[in-house]
Amino acid sequence: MSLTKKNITQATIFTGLVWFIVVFLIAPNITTVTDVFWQDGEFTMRAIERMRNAPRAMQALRNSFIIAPVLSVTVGFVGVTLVLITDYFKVFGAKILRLGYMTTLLYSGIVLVSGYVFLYGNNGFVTNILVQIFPNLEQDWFSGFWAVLFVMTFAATGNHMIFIRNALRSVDYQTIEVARNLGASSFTILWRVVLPVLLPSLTAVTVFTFLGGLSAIAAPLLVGGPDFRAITPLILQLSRLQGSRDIAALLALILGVSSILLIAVFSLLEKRGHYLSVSKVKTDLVKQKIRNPVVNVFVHIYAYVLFLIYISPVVMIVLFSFTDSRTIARREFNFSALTLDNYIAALTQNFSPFMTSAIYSFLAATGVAVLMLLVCRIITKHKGKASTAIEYAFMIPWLLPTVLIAWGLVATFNRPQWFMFNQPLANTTTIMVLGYLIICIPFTLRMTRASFFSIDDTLEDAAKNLGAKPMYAFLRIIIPVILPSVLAIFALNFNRLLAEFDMSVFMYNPLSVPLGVEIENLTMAGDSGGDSAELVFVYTVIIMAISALVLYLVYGRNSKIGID
Amino acid sequence: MIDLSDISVDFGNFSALTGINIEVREGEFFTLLGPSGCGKTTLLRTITGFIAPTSGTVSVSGKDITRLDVEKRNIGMVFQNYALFPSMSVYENIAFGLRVKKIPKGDIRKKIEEIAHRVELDETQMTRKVNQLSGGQQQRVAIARALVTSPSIICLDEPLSNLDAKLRIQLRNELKDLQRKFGITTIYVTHDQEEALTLSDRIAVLNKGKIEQLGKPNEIYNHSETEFVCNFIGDINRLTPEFLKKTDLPMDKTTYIRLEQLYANAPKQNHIIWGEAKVTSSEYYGLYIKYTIDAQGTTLKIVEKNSGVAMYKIGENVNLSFDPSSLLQYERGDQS
Repeated sequence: MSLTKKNITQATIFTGLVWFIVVFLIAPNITTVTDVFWQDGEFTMRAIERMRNAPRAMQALRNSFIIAPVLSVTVGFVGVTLVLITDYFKVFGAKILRLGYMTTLLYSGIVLVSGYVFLYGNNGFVTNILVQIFPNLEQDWFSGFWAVLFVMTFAATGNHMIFIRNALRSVDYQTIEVARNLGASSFTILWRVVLPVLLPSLTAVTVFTFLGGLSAIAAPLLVGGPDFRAITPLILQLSRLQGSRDIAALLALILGVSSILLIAVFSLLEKRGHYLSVSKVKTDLVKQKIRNPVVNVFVHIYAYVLFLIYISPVVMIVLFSFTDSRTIARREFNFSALTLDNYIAALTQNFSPFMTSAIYSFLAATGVAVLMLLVCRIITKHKGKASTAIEYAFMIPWLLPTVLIAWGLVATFNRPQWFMFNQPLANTTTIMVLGYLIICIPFTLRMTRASFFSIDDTLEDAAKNLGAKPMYAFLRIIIPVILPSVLAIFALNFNRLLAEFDMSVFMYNPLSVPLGVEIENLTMAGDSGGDSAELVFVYTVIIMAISALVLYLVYGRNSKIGID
Repeated sequence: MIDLSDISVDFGNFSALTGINIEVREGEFFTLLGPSGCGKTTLLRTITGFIAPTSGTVSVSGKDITRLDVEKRNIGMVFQNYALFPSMSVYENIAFGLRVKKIPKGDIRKKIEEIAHRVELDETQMTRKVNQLSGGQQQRVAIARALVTSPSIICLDEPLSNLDAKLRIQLRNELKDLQRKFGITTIYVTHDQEEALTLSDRIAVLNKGKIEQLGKPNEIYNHSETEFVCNFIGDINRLTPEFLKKTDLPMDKTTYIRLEQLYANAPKQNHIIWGEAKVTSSEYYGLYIKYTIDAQGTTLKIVEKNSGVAMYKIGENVNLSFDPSSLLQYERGDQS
């Protein structure tokens, strides 16, 4: 009797998961492919032809495929030097510098770009200073390829501050000492002993920088100007034009295929192996003194210039968030203009985008946590071909850029589908939450799976041996053990989604605009002389405060996730 | 009490256990002994219900429990790493099984106080998290947790294997005392032959999923039925054909003798006097000294009780003798 009940429950869960995979992870991609290659009931290459004849599309493709590799180099250089400054060389004030360099972990995406616009954009704080020095400088000088490259370079070094820093910490100091003992110079030690240890992490981070550059949307939209079109903003634009949707779908598909190819290459590189310390007793890294005085001065100047670049948008945003709209419009800070009015207004009259995003994020972060608990339970408990297939299927979103996922969902569910019980989802809260949930699946799956694998199997056996039924043992023994990790993953997902832009801009309902889209709207309006900047600043400060709290709780003391 | 009848367990094409027949008596301390991978833990998990046998039956007091769910068997288990619930205090760990059985709160408290007293856990220790306890205390919590629900049998899966040598001996003695105190039927799994010999009423020696020998510790040690058991239990000398040539003993069998059965300069009436052999090295163990002897090309070992002075010098010749009835002989090719 109980065996039958158990089988029915298992079959129901399995069917539910397969339905989710087919409907939300596979069907949208099939829709995208058919949108491109299947028109008027027959196979066609018309979309490719149309794209080749569309100068804007070809220019966007060219631009994106140029900025991605260039960005990989600039981010790699800046990112590695940041880590060396804070953790390898003896640099005065390294702890303060590190805090400055890590600000991109507190705010990113559209929020960060809007901060740079405030400084360097039309009528920006730095622009106004530069115009006074160079009267011939145009107000909108910060626009186009170089502006996008500048913003994205400093926006994308957050991963270096986590992963490359961790890799650097894994360097065994004895290997440096032995190299010195064998007569190696400081440069040789850095180049031949230290950097090879960082290489696997650097490769991984560079691949994701490349993918980020390829599918960038916030920076090209806000600082790209009329001359710099990139793929994703163009997809967004074309998706709103009835006659150009096939080109938009094709561009999304090109992004997707490029991502898959790049990740495949990365996987091959990863299989070549890591450099693991073979020391019996590993010793911690000791910071290296820069012996050459000229190089030492140069490194210090470089470190503090970077610090200024990183910290100034944050400082300006925090300071100006407490001033009135006139002061913000003039970009002239004045202590007498300090006020809490912006915060009061944002938290009373303009709280709707924040609430919308908070609700979407909460629902998606909760949903993905519960779903991945179920999936990971199946993966770890029932090892076999079916569970492996489920695991791989849930990793599909990892391979695809957000724009392709968004496009697929919109294209699939803007009309009733039998597999969705003929319920149209376009412009509903459900599709927004689903979109958010899907982009959180790969990270949540990997982290939850790791938590499950760290649990000793005998705990559950012991509970059963003491008379507990499987579900009781799971709820009473397993859940309390993994709960801290699940909550940490939930907090990180919530934090990531709060100002999400890439997915939101494709799927939001105009009646309930999420925070990321609202910030973009306000930044665009502010750039053309409106008085909406104070709202952006208040939202940014609140987001930074929430991010700081989440990061402290997750990565701070008693860290439950082993990233830092 | 426990009757294992013709138990076989297959994992795909691999046979983990084949034709196991064991009857464990009530109140007995029964040990499953064997090297890694011999199937002892698989057999224990079959008894507790974590593994369903491919064929055969498991009965307790005449009742067939082969297909009964783990949680309904009422067989306590102490795991190799104790499997204490890290999110709970010592008290909550011990109370877990009673709460599952929906015992009234007052009774739970009473039962826990009683068991805590018997395993010598004090009140302060009861409020601690399990990771704040020493290895020995953790073992007592695991035993208390297994015993508090009054199981009919307790199974222990190498509970001493993670401990250092001194603590292992101390806890081994405590374990035996507790078993005597509770009088509970105990099935113990270990790969440590010394542990098995000192603790057990009876031992089943397993090898490659089959029982090699089942008997009392002295039977297993002194009358090893197979060459595998003779080699697995204790130190032993293999007597070469060259060594046997000087005796009237048959040479068509593989012959062994325990170290303590081989005498130097101490012939007795019923002994075969083998002759002179040279001492080549010695190992000092404190309680005794182990000497390596070269018997005209055959290397042998003997042990002598430590009397405070070295009995033999390196290079010294000693007169070897032994009782022929102490020899262990097996047909050639018997080694499993």
